[in-house]
This record gives sequence, structure tokens and C-alpha cells, in this order.
Amino acid sequence: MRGISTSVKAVLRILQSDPAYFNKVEHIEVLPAREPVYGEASDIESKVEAYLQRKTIRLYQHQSDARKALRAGKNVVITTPTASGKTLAFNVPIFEELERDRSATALYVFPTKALANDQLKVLDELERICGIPVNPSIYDGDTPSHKRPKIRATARIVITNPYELHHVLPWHYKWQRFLAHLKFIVLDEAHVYRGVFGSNVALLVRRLRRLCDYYGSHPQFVISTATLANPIEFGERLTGTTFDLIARDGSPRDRKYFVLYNPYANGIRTRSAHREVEDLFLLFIRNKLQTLCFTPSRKMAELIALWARKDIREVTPSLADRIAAYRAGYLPATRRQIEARLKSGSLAGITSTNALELGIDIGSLDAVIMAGYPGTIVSTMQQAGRAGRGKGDSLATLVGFYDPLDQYFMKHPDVLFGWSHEHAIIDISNEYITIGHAMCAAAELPVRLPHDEVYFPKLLAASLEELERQGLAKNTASGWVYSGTGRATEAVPLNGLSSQVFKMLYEGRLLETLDETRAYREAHKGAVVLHDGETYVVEQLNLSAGIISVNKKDVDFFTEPIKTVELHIIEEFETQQKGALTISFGAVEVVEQYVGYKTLRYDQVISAESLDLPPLRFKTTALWFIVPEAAVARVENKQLDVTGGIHGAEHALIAVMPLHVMCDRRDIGGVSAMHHPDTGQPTIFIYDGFEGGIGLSEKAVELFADIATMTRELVGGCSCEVGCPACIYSPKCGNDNKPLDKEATIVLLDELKAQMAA
Amino acid sequence: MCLSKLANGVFCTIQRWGRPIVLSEGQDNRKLKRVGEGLRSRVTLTSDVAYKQSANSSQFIPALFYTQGQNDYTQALELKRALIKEHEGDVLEEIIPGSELVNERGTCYRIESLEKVRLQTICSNKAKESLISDFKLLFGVREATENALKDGGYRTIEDLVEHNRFGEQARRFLELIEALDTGEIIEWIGERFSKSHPLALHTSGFHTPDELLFVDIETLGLFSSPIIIIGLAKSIGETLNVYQYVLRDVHEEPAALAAFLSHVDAHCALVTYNGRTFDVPYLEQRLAYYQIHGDLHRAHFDALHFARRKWHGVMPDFRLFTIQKHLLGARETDIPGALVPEFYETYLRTQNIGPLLAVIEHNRQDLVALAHIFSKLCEG
Repeated sequence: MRGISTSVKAVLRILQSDPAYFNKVEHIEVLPAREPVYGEASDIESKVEAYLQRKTIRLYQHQSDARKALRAGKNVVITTPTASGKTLAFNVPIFEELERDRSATALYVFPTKALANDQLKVLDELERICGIPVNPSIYDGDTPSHKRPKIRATARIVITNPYELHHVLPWHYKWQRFLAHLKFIVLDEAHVYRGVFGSNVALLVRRLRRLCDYYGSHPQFVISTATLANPIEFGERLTGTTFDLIARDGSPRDRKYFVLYNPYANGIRTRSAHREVEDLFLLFIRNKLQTLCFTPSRKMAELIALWARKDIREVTPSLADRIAAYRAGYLPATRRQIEARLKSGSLAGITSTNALELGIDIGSLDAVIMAGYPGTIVSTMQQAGRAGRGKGDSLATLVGFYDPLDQYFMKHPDVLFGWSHEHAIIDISNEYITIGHAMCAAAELPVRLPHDEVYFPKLLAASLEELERQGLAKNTASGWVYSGTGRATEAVPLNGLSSQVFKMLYEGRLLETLDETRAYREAHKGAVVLHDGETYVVEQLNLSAGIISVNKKDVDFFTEPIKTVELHIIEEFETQQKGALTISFGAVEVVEQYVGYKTLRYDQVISAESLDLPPLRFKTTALWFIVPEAAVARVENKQLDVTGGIHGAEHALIAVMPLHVMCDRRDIGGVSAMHHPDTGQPTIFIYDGFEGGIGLSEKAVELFADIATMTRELVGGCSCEVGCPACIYSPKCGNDNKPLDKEATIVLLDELKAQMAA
Repeated sequence: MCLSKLANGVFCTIQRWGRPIVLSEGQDNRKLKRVGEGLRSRVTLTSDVAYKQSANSSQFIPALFYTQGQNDYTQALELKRALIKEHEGDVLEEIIPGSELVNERGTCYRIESLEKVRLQTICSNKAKESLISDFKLLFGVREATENALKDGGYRTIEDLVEHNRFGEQARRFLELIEALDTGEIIEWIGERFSKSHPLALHTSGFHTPDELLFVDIETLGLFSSPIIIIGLAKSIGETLNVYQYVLRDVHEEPAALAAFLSHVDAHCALVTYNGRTFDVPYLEQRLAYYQIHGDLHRAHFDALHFARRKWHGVMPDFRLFTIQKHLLGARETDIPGALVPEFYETYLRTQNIGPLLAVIEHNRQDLVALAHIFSKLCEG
């Protein structure tokens, strides 16, 4: 333990004194260590008690708080940080209850399959040591059909994900035993369930509650989430029940050094930021810090591992084999193997996409490197939380990329460390979402009014009537009955992800699977694909068969696609007049085309090729408006950048809109142009990020005056000089947040307001 | 394009996905309507009859026909049109005599018809003989052990009741046969061989012919959509009695389910074609959906599985339609099973009984074909 602590100190000394590093260290935040605070836990069930003793566990404050609340029949939302022992906080009282009531069951819902596998190991161990028969089992898309009947018949803890649950609910009669005795529903990593996805999950949970009620059970909810500004409200919206907040974190904390490292600190760029990341990665590893490096893309995860292995082989060959890449797309068995090697300490360093951000148990790590700002502060803190699970000091390093958002945080550590927590928004009164789940509910059990309005307080009756008009439901003496010909659940996607899966084959062997967008972006003909440190070149991308054929080739370059994005108006549904300003709403098509790719060697472009791929088309709904001539004139008069102003206004409107239309920022997208081909004028578009549209921009049309007013207040009231992530910088801008002009944005928004008042 | 006055008094132009509609409701209803239409088109696209856009026209046709050429589909649509024309204004009760069934769950339409079918079954002595002479029905007995036992003078399982190693199993098996517990016998066979083993079919010999209940349902979808018809058939003497419980509308489903259950008594066994995978789980789901208590867990002979074993390599595929064509000749007019939902939807929408009549006849013919095929299977 002391060794680690001295290693962290040694690395810090190097970072602060070595000329290669010290002037790039912008800031070191010391997050102090904290002693554990234990809670009182009386009369623990003897088998669970024996488990705790054997593992020498004493419950922390929040763990005993959670236990007390759950034993008192309350629902709890637990918001303590990553690695504080949240899982144990609910596993203890749940196992106690499963022992007390030998027929009781519990449902654990995780957002991803990877988390489910991890949790199963924990529960298996608990069952084994406690000797309480629970038969914890995963039930998801990977569960073989011959194993399913036994799980339904015997498992007392079932682990699943929202997608599987959505498709399982219509089969509820086969789950009668499980549902009738359901005592707990655990929603882990629940902060993922926000925005449109969250609203879908919220209605899914209500469908589940309705079925539980039918079978006579009234399960308690356990929500575990990253810190949010509104945890209690979030829990209530997600489930429709009331919650106690468990937030008194009693877990001990290591001292953590949080370094902001800026390769561009002096404006001098001799090497690419990725090379700097690799360099830090090796520095940490050589100093005996087991290090996890988060990268923004799958490709960078592979590339940094590849470089690091190659470079260290010359110095310390034994370390080269102790570096690996980890990412989604790897086959489950490969992932399990890497996780095990990380836990056992046989891996010294690992590069990963955010696949490891969510609570996959990989044991303690000494250091974390984040290659670029991960996009949200919640993610930044989650990733940093991966360091310091042991005892002693730990190190987290955020490497700033050449992006305005990254650079902003490099210069403003106070904002990063003092940020107020984010709001997680859920909207259960969205027509698109409600009508879909009302239909699913009707396919599960006849819906009775007004009885079932307890679960769907808004829009249920109106939705059913509309379903009847569409021939999808009938009002009968038994209740409202589904009468469509298709499978209700398949017509209601929980999120907008495309379902086509591409297979990447090397000599007929499956290397990995990719979704459609990723296949276009990363596996076009000629693309260099990295897999487990080996380079492959794509020979053919067969779109109709969904097959990518690759050849193994040892190349020292990589490729980067060139993409264009266009938006076409298909049809204007309606326009609304806001004073002198006209807001349009209608159907649009977003067209992404991969037109070619660049070949790069060590970040230097060595060639560019064109591609002959069909465009990816995506139909959705959007609102748009033509920026009034007067506004453009005013910006020009002040000698400001009109394009930067329009672009800035688009970003700021998107930042404010989620609060008004109840969604997450990632649910909407925008396009702005000085001369849009369909309007011939400067135009700003804001569209729903879901195929077919999901009512967000539609609602924003109604509320546009409020949105614009608040946007003006936000940008004007922001204390920054040239724009920052709190106002006009967007974490997912396709143009690297360029051009942006804060002053022009303000002038433009003022004029918009004036026009609306006219 | 059209103009309509909104609730808030503002005029605006409205046009929706290529089809202008005059709206008289307020803002919210209009929005819900657009949402509803989007949902309906998604349901159609994800329905089990997957629709594909035809290459040379803008028409959407079921994918099933797309691969086989469009002739069958076009023919079926012509049939539908002809039926609609022929039955303009007709009333079901006048065209097909039957009776309105009333039970505690409501009403539905009951049609009874007779068909001349001499059902071949396996006689119970033969059934018992073949079951008790296969020693491999006992755990731990394979070919070699069986031969050794037979060489040792054991002729049937009955001779084994005092055997040291197999006696206990033999006694339990004979008890099942004594009790004629066909459901459990099939389970027993399924655990040692498979449920489609010819011995499982032999078990049907323990039932009298009138205990065999032939079942075939027509449905609006492949899962969790309403049933359209529950068709049943029973062999009585030289005739096959066919009972069809038809839903004149979706709300008649609970009554039809309850009527179906009234045929399922303690002694009956089910005979289906692919019912192990489809009809029985479907019925179970619908019973659970309406909270109707009924236990379908019993002896069940799924002719599809026996047909697969018996005619492996002989038939081009194992659709009921194909087997029937090979054994009994093709039907005169029929609609492809995949179009049943579309025909029924047309009936619901237009209230013209033409398409419904085709579905009723399709179901009746399926039941008759099932009885014939089962009979052929039992012939040996």
C-alpha cells in the first residue's frame, strides 16, 4: 500500500519538475482523504451477518441508512459516489428479506449486459457464503432459450436490462411465481435513464408495477445513481412512487490528486495530444501505477495501446504484454478475460472507451487518465472515480484536447470542481411515448379506466381513444384490448438506436459486431481497423449482407472518415407566428454522408481517398426559423461574425431547450447555416434525435418565446468572455465549436426577442 | 394543403405525411392523431407479416410473397375483392348457419359442421405392447443392455418389475400405463427420447377416438394479438364434427375462449399441427390475458413433429398445406395463412363478411386436413 502511495508521489514529483511535463500541468486539485463513518446495524439476519464477518465488513453510514429505510418499507434512492459500496447497501437488506421469506424474489435492472455479468458474480458469492438459496440468474438477449423456463421457475433474483424487460412483460403469465412474490426492484446506474430514454423506462416501470399489482405484489424500489441535482424528484418520476434519499456517504476516501494536463498550455504543439496521452500512460505504468486510460473513441483505445506496447517493448519488454485495450464490440469471452487480468493485477495498463465507466467491477486502480473531456461532468467524475479503490493515494488526470470545451476546463478548474450537479429530466406526459406504452400495456392485460390511471396519470384515456381510431385497441367489457397485428413492444423502441448489426469477419472468423453508423464510419473500404492491438484493413463492406471482410496487415497508419451532414426539409406541417418571427415545424431528413477518408501517419495526413457509400438518411421532425434580416444587419453593423452568432445561438438554444421540453441534451440536434438551400436564407434548425420524431421540437415551437428569452439570459448572464460550456459551447458540436462569436450571439438573440415582441 | 382553424384561433397551414386532412379538433387531439398514425405504420411494419416495398411499384406486399413472386398475393387480393363484391350487405348469420353462443364471458358465433372422415387410430393393446417392449424407456438402458436383458429372457418391462437394477423404474412406468396417464407417459418418453418419438404417438392409442380434440386457431398476429377463430374437431363414428367459435368482433374473444375450455375435459387429449409452439401457448397467453382459468397441460400430440420424422426427405417442406397436397390433393380455393390477419382486418374495417367467410373456410379445411394427416400417421 505504501508502495502505491510513494509511486503517486513520485509521479507527481516528475510531473511538477520534469521540463517535459511541468509547464503543461495547469492545475492539481487535491481531494482530501476521509475516514470511514460507520452506521448502526442491529439484529442483522444471522446468515448475512456471518457473511459480513467473514468478509470483515462493517456497514458504513449510507449502507446502514439504506438498510433501515428498506426494512421500514421505504423506497430509496442512493446517490453516494462510485466505489462507496452502493451495491452492498441494497444487497444486505435484500438477502435478509430473501432469507426471512423463502418465496420472495427481487429484480435487478442494469442498463447494460456487461454490468449484469459483473453483478452476477457478486450475487453468486453472496449466495454461496450466506447459504441462502437465491439462484441469481441473468435473463437477457444472450440467455439460451433452453435455460429460460428453469430461470422463470426457480430464480429468486433475476438480473436484466430495460430492453429485455420491455419484451418480457407481455409474457408475464409465465412469470407468475416471480411477479407474485416480487419484493424489490433495483434500478442501478439509473442516471442513464434520463431524457427520452428515461421517459420510456419510466413508463416501462409503470407497466411492470401494473402487472405486479395484478399478481398481488407491491415491490419496493431501490434506485442507485450518480449524484444528481434532483435525486428524489428523479426517482419519483422514474417510478411513480415516493423516495427516501440515502446520501450520507460513510465510505473512506483516498487522497486523490486530480491533475489537469494541457498539451497546448503554451500554444506550442510539437506532438499530438494522443501522443501525450500515450506518454503519460507509459510514465504511470513505469512507475508501478496500474492505470486505466479512457479514450474518446474505440479507435484511440486501440491505437494508444498499440503505441504504448511498441514503445515500451524497447525499454521494458516484460511490460509490453501487460498492456491491453478494452472496448465494446469485443466478444464477451474476451472482455471477461481482460477484466480478470485487470483484477488479478497481471495487467499494468489498460485503454478503454467509456465501456468501463459504468460500475463494472475491475478492482482497484491506482491511476486514471482521461484523453479529452468526456462530455459531461458526471462522466468525468465517474471516470476519475475508477482510481483509488484501494487504500493510499490515487491519481486522476484529465488531458485537455484542442477543443474549446477542453481548453475552457483547463483554464477554469473552479468550474470543473465546483459545478452544481446536473438535472436528470424525465417526461411522462409526452404523447409519443405515452401512446406507445399505453398500447404495450393493453397488449399485456386489458387496460381498465379509471383504475389504471394510477400508473399513467396523464393521457391514458386520450391515448386509448386514439389507439382505437387507429384500429390498435378496442374498448370491450374486459377493458381496453390491444387489437393490432404486430408485436406491440417491437413498434415501441426504448431508444432510437438502429437495429442492423454488421459482422466483421477475418478469414471467416467473427472479430466483432458493429451497428450501422459505426460500420459506415469505421469499417468502410480501405479503413484501418484495430482489434486487440492488431491492424486490419477493410477489403469490403457489404451493406446488404451486413458483412465486413478484413485482412490482417501490419500498417503504421490509420484512417479517419470525412463526413458531410445535410438537412433537408421534407414537409412543413405548420407555422406559428411569434410576433414578427415565424417558427416552422415539419418533417426533415438528416443526411450524413461519408464521402471519403484521410490516411494519417502519426497525425500527419499522407493521403485522401474518396468513398462511394450511400448516405445514411434519418427522418425526423424539426423546428426551424429564418434569422431575421434586421438581426443579421445589426450583427454586421457591429463588425461581428454573423456565422459565429448563428452557430452560437443554435448551441445556446439547444442548451436551454431540454429544461422546457423535458428531455436530455443528447436527445436533440441542430444545424445552422448562413444560406440553407431549402430556405435560401440564414436558418437555424433544431431536430429530434429519434427516427420519426418524438415531439420535442414540436413542443418547443409552443414554448419558443420562453426558450429564446431564457437563452438570452443565459448567454448574457454568463461571466465568460468569449463563450464557455455553460453558454455557447456544445459538447457534441460536429465542427469543433468553430466558428463561435459570443457577442454576435447576444446581439442576435436580442433582435429575436424584439421581433417576437413586435 | 388545407386551412384549419386551431383552438387558439390562429390560422395555419397543415399537411401531414402527404395526406391532407381537415381537422376540427383542438391542438392536442391533432397532435395525438399524428402520433397515432405514426404508431400504426410502425406496428404494420413490425407485424409478423413483414411488408416490403415492391421493386416495380409503390405497393407494399408481404415479404413472404415477395420472395415467392407476387402471383399468390395478387390472387389472394383478387379473391378478397371478389368476396367483398359478392357479399355486399350480407349478414354472417344468414350465410353460414350457426348460433349465437352466450356464456358468462359474453357472446360469440358458433358454427358446427360435419365432414366424412374415418379416423384411423392406434388400438390400445398395440400401444401398450410397443411401449412395454422398449427397454430403452428406462434410464440406464441402451441398445446393448436391452439386448442382454432380452437374451436373459426378459420380454417386456412387465418382466422387469422384480429386477434389481431396473425394477423400481419399471414399476413406476407400469403404474403410469395402468392409470392411462398419457400426459405423464409422454413426459416420460420425452425425457428419454423426445416428445416426437413414434412411441409418443402410440400413446394416443390409450385414448378413445372421441377423446382426441383437434385444435387449430386463427389469429390477428403471431403473439399477443386477439384470436379470430378457435376451431375444434372431434371424431364421432365415421364423421368429424367441426366446431368453430368465431369472433364477430374483438370483444367476443373471452366468450370464445370459455367455449373452447368447455370441450377440454379431464380425459381429452389435444391434437394440433405445430400447436406445441404456436396454438397452445397462444391460447394460454389469451386465457391469462382475460384472467380465465383453464389448464391446457395434458397429453398433446403435435402432428407436425411426427410428420417430420415420418416423411423426412419425402416432403419438400412441412407446412400443413404442403402435406395435405401430397397426401390428399390440393384445396380448391384457399387463402394463404399469412393473409388471415389482413382478411380479418378488412372485415373489421368494412363490416363486409366476404373476407371473414374465407377465413372461416380456411380454418375448417385446416382442421379436416389435420384429422386426415393424424389418421395417416396412425396407419403406421
